[in-house]
Amino acid sequence: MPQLIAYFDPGSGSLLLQVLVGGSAGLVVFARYLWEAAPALLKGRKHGESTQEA
Amino acid sequence: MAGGSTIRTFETGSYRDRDARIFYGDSGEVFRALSVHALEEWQAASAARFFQQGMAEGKIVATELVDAARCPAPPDNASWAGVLKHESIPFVSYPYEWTFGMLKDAALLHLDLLQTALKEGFTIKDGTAYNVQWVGQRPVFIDVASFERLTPGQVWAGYRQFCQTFLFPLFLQAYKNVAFQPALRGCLDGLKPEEFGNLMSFRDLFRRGVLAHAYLHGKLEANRTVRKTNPQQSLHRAGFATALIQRNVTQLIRIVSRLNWSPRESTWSAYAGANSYSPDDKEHKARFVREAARARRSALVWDLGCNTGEYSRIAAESARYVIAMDADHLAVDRLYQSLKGRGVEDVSVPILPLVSNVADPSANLGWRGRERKSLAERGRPDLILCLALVHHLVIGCGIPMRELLQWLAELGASLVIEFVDKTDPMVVQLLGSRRDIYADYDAHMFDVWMNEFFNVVRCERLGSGTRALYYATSRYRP
Repeated sequence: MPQLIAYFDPGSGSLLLQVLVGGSAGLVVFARYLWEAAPALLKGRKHGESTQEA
Repeated sequence: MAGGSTIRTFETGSYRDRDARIFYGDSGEVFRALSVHALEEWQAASAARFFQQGMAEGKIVATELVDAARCPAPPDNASWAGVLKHESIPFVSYPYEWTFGMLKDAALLHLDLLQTALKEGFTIKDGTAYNVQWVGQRPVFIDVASFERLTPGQVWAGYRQFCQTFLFPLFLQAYKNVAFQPALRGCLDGLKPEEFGNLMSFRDLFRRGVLAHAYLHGKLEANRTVRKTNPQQSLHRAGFATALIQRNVTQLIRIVSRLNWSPRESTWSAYAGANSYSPDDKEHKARFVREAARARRSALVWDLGCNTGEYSRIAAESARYVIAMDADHLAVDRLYQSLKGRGVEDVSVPILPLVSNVADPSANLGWRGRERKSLAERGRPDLILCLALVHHLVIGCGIPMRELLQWLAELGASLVIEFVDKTDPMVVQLLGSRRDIYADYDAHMFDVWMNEFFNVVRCERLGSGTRALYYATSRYRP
């Protein structure tokens, strides 16, 4: 089933940014996060996203 | 529903947090009903040093846990675990009515409280500017239920809200010289990162805080793939630590402290030095206002078109609280800064400066049109000052004079109002750039309509002969 973007609350980017402004400690956390999240992120891109907002 | 009975409700702006909701007592006392979870958090937070110190310094609204049996039942008659009683705020105001300096000071208060709370293992779960109110020129944090114990690996959930309602509006004013109030009034949730980032030019990226908090933040929020991930748990596993929030908050304090908005002049900021009053007229006017204000001790005074706040100060000598309003942002910001400097120790001057335009005032907004209320719904005045303003509203804004006087009368207060003849240099200047279609702007008609809507107590002409002052009481009872 296509995933509708409207069903995802905004805020994920805000959470990630808190890590990115965290200097070197933040970058370590971000790298670990990417390592774990990479498969999901890549899968999301591969399957494409629904542009429906209903 | 039984005829004539009123339904008790929670405060209409307090509905998002299911764990804590505001309601009022019969005499306007402010209560907050707490769920089991919120009561536990309150007990932990209120015992913490940062909280007690914040309350003692007036940064957090004075609050106590009360015996639920001794206060009115919450409106829904559901079983709540506890009830808090808050000290009342003299007049509720909203961020879209504040000046740049006020929004900045409110942001710094929020960050300061968060910083001290983090040191003791607490966080503020919300980041909205609506959680700050004012007692004179002192910002007060009112949402005590948003203090919660921080669990390891938890991020600052209020960061996005902080950007939307504090940081981006401040950037907009400081970096783009665009008024933030209409943007905040147009969208109560504030400016979205994914939209605000688009307003930033290449040059703006080099300004303090913009690249990360506005541009990159906006790009991440606009990214659909990022939006579909829920990074909270992953970040916890990746080792997210409180030190990262502390670092972010410290950076934000540095960014916000250095934000500055100081245009040299606005439409009205130079008014005090460029008007048609002789020293005698000025003194006469001040005396007239002082005597009218002293005639009865007012709980609430509205000074419409306050400009430098000269008459707000006079009214404040004998009133409990004065709302000094002007449509000119810079004039009100200067008033705020000068009042702030004048406060003695912890006691601020009982004047709340607000950016407000009589021709385009704050309306009922938000959920059910009752989440944020119009000015009159938040507190009707006992006395209104409307000095050197009528010609601007009638000629400048095109408001029919009889309707203006009717509106003032319907507020049900006493009124000190000034009428400036068409022969006055200031009115001549105002009419210079437009065709005079304002037949209703006439001294005789003003007198007729004043007597229609008010009981005129006193009317005096200033020595220059072009200005008249009226002190009157409304014939209406709201």
